[in-house]
Amino acid sequence: MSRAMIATLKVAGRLLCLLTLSLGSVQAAPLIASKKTDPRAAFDDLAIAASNHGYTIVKLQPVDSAMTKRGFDNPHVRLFFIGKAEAVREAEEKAPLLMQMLPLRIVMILRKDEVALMSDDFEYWRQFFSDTWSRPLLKQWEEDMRAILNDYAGNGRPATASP
Amino acid sequence: MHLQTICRSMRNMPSLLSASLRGMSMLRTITRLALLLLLTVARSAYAADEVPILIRNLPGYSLDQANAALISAITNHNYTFVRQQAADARLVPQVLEGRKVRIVYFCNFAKMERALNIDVRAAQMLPCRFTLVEAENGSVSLIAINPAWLSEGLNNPLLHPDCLELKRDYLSIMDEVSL
Repeated sequence: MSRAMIATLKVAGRLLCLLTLSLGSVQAAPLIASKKTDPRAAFDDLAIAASNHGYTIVKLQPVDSAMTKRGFDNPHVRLFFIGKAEAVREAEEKAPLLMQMLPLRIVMILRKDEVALMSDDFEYWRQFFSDTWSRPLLKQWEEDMRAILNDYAGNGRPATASP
Repeated sequence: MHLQTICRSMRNMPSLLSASLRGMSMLRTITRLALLLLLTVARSAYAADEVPILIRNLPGYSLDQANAALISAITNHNYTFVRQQAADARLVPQVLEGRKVRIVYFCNFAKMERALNIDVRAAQMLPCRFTLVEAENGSVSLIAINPAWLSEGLNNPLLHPDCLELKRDYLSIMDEVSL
């Protein structure tokens, strides 16, 4: 794909995101937290924030370097997977299909001097997995994720910033 | 007289140029708005009827056999195998990891680049993933989140065709494994 076409797609994509958000037609939205920092410090803060809530980073997927190493555009994105054994056991017992969400994913978006973290969209999942077992699990994971992102926004200490 | 007209035109050049640039900018804005309108209309063209999860039962397979067949099918479909892990990998000591669930990650870098360029929220589907689950009775299932279903939640018509293609790839891989 040509660079011009990619640029056009980027612009159109962003504009469309804005439009859909402004129309309020998006069914739900992921949780997002952002602050001015560098990627290394962001990783440390995320690790502390996850640990504050009983989660461990189980995998870092450096999509940015994996892509550039192969000659592709740098998407300035890294993926983190966090989990806790208790959540896995609970999902296995109560709602096995929700295992598809585990370990929980956090997308790290690297900007100039800012690092944003974005979760999966729990609310969207809840619309489809609304049974007695799935709903409380999804609610719990969403609350955990919100707390983690709040902590991240406050440099690893519980903060009031709402993602 | 003719020379005077030319001179006057020359004097007016900056304002003419500026007006022309303003016109171009407006044209660009109008084009973008038209594109947005078109995309908004296009968005309603696809029905939100995708199922969240794709499942295929694999009778006669052990978890290891299914795993081997899955990795082979992934490669055959021009995707790169990334890694596999237990559901509780790195959360419990390795000897205690669950053996009934195996997560297989894979990707196609070109498709990943395209999707991320369109909408960074596509990262919620990355990397591609299948989960193999062995039930108590030993039967094995191959499970994946439907990328087209996730795409419906993102509401980006530019991204949706790519997600439909990804779904087709998933189903094709599942078909190959189950055959």
